[in-house]
Amino acid sequence: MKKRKDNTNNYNSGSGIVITDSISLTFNSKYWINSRLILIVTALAGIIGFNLSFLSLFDFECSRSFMLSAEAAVFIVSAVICMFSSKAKYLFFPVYFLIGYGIYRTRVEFSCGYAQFINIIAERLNITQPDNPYYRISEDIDKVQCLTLFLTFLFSAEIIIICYNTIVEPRFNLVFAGTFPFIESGLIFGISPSHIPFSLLVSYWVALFAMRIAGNQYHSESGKPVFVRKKNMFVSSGNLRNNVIEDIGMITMVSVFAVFIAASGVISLFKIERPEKVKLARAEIKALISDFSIEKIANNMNDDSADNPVTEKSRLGDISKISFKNKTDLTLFVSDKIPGNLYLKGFTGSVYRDNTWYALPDSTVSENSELFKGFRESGNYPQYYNYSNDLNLNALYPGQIRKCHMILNSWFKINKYAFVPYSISPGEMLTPVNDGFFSIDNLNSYSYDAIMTPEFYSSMNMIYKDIDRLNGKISSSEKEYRKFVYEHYLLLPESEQMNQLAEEYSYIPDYNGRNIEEIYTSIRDILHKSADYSLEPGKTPSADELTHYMLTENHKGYCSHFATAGVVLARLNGVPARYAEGYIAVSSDIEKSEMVNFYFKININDSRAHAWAEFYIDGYGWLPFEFTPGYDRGIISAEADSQQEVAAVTVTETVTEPPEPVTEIVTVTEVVTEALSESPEVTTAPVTSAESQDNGNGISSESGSASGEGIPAEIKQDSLFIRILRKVLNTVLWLVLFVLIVFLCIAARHIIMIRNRIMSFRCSSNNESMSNVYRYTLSLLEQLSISKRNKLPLEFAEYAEKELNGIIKEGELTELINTALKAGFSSEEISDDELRASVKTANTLSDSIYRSKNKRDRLIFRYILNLGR
Amino acid sequence: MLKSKLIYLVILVSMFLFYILFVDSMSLMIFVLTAAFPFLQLIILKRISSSVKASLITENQTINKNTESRIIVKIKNNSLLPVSCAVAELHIANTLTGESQTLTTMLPVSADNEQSIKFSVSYEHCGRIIITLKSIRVFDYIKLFSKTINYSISREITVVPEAVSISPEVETTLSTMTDNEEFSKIRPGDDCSEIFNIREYSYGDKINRIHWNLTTKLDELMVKEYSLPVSTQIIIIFEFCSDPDSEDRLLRNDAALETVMSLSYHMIGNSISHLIAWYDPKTRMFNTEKILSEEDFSAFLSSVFASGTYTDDCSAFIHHKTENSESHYSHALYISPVISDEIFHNFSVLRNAYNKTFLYINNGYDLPDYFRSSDTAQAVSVRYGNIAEGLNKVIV
Repeated sequence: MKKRKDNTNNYNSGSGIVITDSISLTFNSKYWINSRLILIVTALAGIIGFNLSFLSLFDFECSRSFMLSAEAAVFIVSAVICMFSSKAKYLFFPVYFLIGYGIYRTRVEFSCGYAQFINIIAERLNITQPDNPYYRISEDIDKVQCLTLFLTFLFSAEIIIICYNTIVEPRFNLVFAGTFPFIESGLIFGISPSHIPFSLLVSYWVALFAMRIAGNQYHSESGKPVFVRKKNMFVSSGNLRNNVIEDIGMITMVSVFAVFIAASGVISLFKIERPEKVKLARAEIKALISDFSIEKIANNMNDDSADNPVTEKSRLGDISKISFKNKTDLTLFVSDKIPGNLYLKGFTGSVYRDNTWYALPDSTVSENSELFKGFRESGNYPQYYNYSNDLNLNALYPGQIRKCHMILNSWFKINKYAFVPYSISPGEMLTPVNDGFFSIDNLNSYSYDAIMTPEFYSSMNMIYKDIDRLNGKISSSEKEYRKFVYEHYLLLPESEQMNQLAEEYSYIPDYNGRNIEEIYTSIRDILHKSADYSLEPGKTPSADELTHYMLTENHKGYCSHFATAGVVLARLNGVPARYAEGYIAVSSDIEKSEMVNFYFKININDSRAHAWAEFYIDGYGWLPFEFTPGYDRGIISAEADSQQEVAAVTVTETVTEPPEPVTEIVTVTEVVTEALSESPEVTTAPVTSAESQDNGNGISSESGSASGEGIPAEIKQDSLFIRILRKVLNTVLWLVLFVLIVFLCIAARHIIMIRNRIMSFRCSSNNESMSNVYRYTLSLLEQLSISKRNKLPLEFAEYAEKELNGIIKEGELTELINTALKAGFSSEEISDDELRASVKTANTLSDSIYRSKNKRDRLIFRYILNLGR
Repeated sequence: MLKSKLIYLVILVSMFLFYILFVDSMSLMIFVLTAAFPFLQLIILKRISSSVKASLITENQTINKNTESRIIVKIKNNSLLPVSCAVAELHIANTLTGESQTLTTMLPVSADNEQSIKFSVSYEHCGRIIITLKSIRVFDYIKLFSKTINYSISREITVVPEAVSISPEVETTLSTMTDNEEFSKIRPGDDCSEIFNIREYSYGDKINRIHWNLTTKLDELMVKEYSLPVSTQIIIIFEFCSDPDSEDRLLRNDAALETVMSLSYHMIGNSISHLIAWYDPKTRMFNTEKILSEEDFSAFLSSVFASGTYTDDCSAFIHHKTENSESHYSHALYISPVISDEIFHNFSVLRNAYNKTFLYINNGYDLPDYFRSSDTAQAVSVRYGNIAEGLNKVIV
């Protein structure tokens, strides 16, 4: 029978029933197992779990037997020391000293071990190659021995942390903070530790967490009572050693481990795989993470509405990196199977200014209203001359011309303008506006007829060859429109850089109405030689002309950049050209289409958003020209779905797995695609790059290399230096962000605590407020090393007055303590004046202490301890 | 508990994100564990809540004011699983004064063990104390859930007033004017109709008490001791009213109870039977108890505690006046914590009592001018905190 008892002053709540502080707890049976032994076993499980988990992450080549023997010795010593809980803190000093001395004596081997440790991790994470390690280590040094030594010291330190914070006092936070980062170093790169040791480690963490929570009401201080009283509540303290916390730890650890093993068994037995939805969610989250940037947030904040792309006014080159959500933007139903790729244009950029494409100004349109009116009345539009009855396409493609009905469903929230293919008959649902748009009055679904010629759809760039063959009647209005075109579609902003471009590429032949092929080929070659395709081209400096920057400095870009550059160079050489944005349905999309009510249903994802150029062919109209690498050869259709993820997004996977089939990440900025759907006035900035997917035989993503036959490896891998530099910069940015968040947290905590304190001084009961003031005063006095320990209140008052030595007026503290005593032990409520006087004294004391400190201590006093005013 | 739930929610969401982002099956295992953990805790909670039994014991049934008394709560955990946190709540209430306290203890309970927690409680005022162990609330290990096990076990303690011993010199002037047939067997008196004892003469004995016949026979001076008549002619009218607005009402009540107890015990000690008349506000009845022994007084006290105080001044006196008008008493003692000119006057002119004593329970400071002894009634001021001083002035 054991008994503990504590007697202190009684508490009188003012009621005639007085509960004295005399409380005792008796057990009817005694525990024979020392509670420390249970904790030692728990700590041992944690150490084993941690060591084996960490070692399984990276294949460290070291002497395991030596390491384990050393660790066992350290553990035994630590466990023995921890049995003397009150002195453990001091008893560990010799151990620290020994470890420190050991490191000092073997400092060379220790540093080599550290270097080897980093090399192995870097190699495992594919940051470095075996032949090009992070640290160069002399061949004369025994790397295995050095690494063994380093790991032994590292794990020894961990063992001490685990033992002390498990056996002496369970502290989940410290143990977790001391062990998790090691495991996280592998997890973050997609490396999984061995399941059983990791399960053991997680069980240990959970056990410690449960012990912490279960013992949350306790505070363990040697020499303090078993029960702590707060008014009429008696709370057992940590000194109540009745094995409960230890038992809870053990039970939790065992049960969690059992759950782990059972879950592992079930997963293996039933071969449970990740559902598609989870995979999709993962891709989306990763895309979101990848897409996250401060500037994007700022852009979004500046938007009037994210759902209203008409208001979008981003400049080309303002977005440094693009990614995809892989969501369906358009669903197209076609009555006949399309033989090749299908371009669906939504936006036409006619005016180029400040790296931004705009639609024709309304003033220009209205000035030429008669011209456009004529188009409407005749039903022949310059965009669609090839469809016009004026052109004898049947003669050109005998037996191959097919009429096809198309229905397009849009998933955009706002649908102002239609996405239409070349060569359509507009029909009633589509109203032509401006020069190159169709208004649809927010219809989600609209239809039109289109004609399909095999060559047109398989390789649009071949069309110009057939101009001579067309030999059709040219509409009289075309001649008038041609004049308009040459007047408006050769304009470029005047700038030094534009002049430089004109000078640089002066060898491109001037347009004479017949040499389109030659000009196109020249421009395409220039672009492909000067720039690589990249989803992360970075930002274009605001002062720079996009084309100039891309071709002469950055040498990177995606479809929008290539299309813009193509148009600019064409205009420089006298070819009327304009910029087009929309979607492209590639052949694989079309092949995958399913039959629905006699229509082929084609889902067009955001990854199919694209930008291209249009040249005006005299007598024929506007035709699309492709400058984006891969598209120019008409080989974008195949294997559109086999792509690699963007490296930046999927670091984990590129390390751990072969590239996954692409359902996950494709490329397009949502902003752009939405803008495409509806913005006629303003061309959006970065468009898309469906092409990025086509690493099969088209274009590879930024991190991948071009793998198709005949396709040049356009995307070059960054050098190691650049990658490390980028990582360092990323880390620095994250650190800055982290520091900022920490500062914000501290500030928020400070505000909340100060507010709480002020509120605690204004409780409904003055006595309660006074007790809060008293507690606050005690905290302040502790800052001056004036402790109340073992002193009666009035003794303490006298002592404190003496120690304060005039920091506050003599007698004020005594008065405060007297008021506190009155509030605590009298049935009467103290007066408002007494409370106010006490608060004033406490605040004066706080100010005095604050003033007496240096700058660093002032910050701690105010923002960490939150004792200032 | 809200904090624990929030922490758990954050962990669950984190683990779900981890499961989504981390492709290895381990992430699924951790997520399953996180999701299953509350169920595990629920099972544990269910098990321990069905295994925890509690009982309540009080060491004393009757105690004096300001005396510590032990309350023992026994918690037995029959399970092999320990209880991380059990919160036992005790409600202590004085039914007479309306005072109450709730005592809470929070402690872990070991597996397969019985723990006794002993509290010491003292009571400043008389009355009946009801101690109730309302419930024990047990928590799971990470404080996600709790279960309240209701008990409502009650124990009763009576806090009795402290009787003040009245000095033996107190003057006993029991009337010889009424026909009494009961005399004290232990104490002589002045009733010449009944001889109590015959003893040798001692200095100071009155001459008229000498038993001349016996003196002649024994050739020694012998004196007669007359008997002390003990009868129901003494009545204590106990007015147990209180002013709810009065700050010292509880002190007055206690003093009133102590006064009646002291007087009664004094008379019991002298084998003087007497009556105590009091008013029961619950039944609205005027009761008269004949007190012959301490047991009788305890029964009276118990009834008073059960009925409680009332706010109507002088209810007992008015009822006595109307209901006992036919009875005659040698001495009427009126104990009241309230006074007014009218009451004092009415008591003074009470016809059915030969001697009348008004014992006014007060704070000793603001005695009214009219409160003075007269030929018809004795006025005794009983100051709470020192009732002995007042009681020693009473002439019984």
